[in-house]
Amino acid sequence: MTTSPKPQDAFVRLDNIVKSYGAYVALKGVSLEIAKGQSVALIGPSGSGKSTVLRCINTLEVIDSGAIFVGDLRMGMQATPRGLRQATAVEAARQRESVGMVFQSFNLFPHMTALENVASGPRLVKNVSKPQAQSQAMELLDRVKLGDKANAYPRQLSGGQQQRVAIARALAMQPSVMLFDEPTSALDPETVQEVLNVIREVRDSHMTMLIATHEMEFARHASDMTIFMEAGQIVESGPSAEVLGSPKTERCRRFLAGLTGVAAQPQARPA
Amino acid sequence: MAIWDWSVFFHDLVHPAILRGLWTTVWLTFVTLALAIVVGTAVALISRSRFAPAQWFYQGYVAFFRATPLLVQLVFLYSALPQMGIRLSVVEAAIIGLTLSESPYVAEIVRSAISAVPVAQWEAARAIGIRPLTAMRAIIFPQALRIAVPPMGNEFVRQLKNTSLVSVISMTELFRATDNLIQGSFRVLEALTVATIYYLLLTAAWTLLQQLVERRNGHWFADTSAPKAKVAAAKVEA
Repeated sequence: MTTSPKPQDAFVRLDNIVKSYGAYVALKGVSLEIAKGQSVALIGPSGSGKSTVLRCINTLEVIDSGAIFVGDLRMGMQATPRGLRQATAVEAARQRESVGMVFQSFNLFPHMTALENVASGPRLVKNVSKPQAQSQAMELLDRVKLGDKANAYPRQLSGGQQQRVAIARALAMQPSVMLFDEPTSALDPETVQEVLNVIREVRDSHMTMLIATHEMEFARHASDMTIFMEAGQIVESGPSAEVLGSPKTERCRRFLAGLTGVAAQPQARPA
Repeated sequence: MAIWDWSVFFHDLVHPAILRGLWTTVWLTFVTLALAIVVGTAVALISRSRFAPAQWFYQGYVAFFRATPLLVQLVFLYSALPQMGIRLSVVEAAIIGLTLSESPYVAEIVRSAISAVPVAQWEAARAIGIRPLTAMRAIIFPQALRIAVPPMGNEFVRQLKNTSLVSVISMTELFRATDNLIQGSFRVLEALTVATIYYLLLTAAWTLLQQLVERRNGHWFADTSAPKAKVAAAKVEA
């Protein structure tokens, strides 16, 4: 069998992922499962491997060992009559069509308008006709409340606006799962909420999603499940209210206390 | 005999032989630069291959054509190749020589322009599912082009001047036409002044054209934005 049977409820599944850069081991055997329509937050200190997990899922990074399933795709691998082999660049690109990714630094195409950015996937990958791709892109820009910025170039947009365009660009490919790599970390504080609102709206449409974030409030209210990572390993995971409200492990407790500082202990708050 | 004779100057300025030479210089520059862009871009794309022999080919190609003088290459093509049974016409030798000698410079410009586009742009393209060749054509190349235009302007000017070297294999471009005129009139100063003016005019015309291209091309680039200039002006006032 080329695609081994998976539990009914797991739509995204990582089996014991190991990823190293030279001597540095970034992921030391990460396993996780995300059900269809579930929203999962990945939290943890910088360098804990959150971004690497996301980048491995859509094969921007090649894993050393383990297996990644998205739906019935074995990511990074291609089935042949003689078994599995490494996917070619074109095969990997085909797999990525169903995995949307949003980057910390937006990475919009600077030579295209907002509308062209959003239409780029359907135009360049699916060969959708220009009028059709653009009317679909316009709908998506309206959805992220940037319909009036359709003809603006990225440099004319604020960080928050650029990130919303980037989200629309990823959605334009109608992915079955969305990955958000610290989508608000590069933003001014005042534009963080507008981006989080858009992500919340994506979640409400029952998109399966995994979001690496430092926004604990967002994780608590907008994620069904939270995973705490440290040093390339999953330390704790469970329903967001539990992991963020009453963490079981000392390391997770310390991480959350360090983030919120005094606010984590309301009784100690000075008057 | 006066030091400077205006009547000779104006006679040379519109002399049919000079104008024919000027035209030869113009088309030779454009044709060989266009060919060098095609060859140079192809060679630059080869250099991006992870296949080791492709790397060796690239290094060797660039080293060879940059290390030998154009003058030697031209004489080699025109006078040495016949000894091996390959006979090229003057025009063929001129076009091949100017193209090959220019192509490694173009290749280096294209190669560095492509690698100057942030890796994040490749990743964004890959993340959407854009195939590698399409990403190169639609995402990376347009951005690399913007980076490559200013140094390509230098190459145009260089190529324009290099065309004068094909005079040694008896191709009558602007310089050789001027030289021919001097052989008859013995008025060197006026004739060479005319040639100099034409070279300057061609360079100036190109600079204008390039500015036009850069402006058209740069509307999505921050450095040509009017608001930024206003901010700079405001800072000066403050």
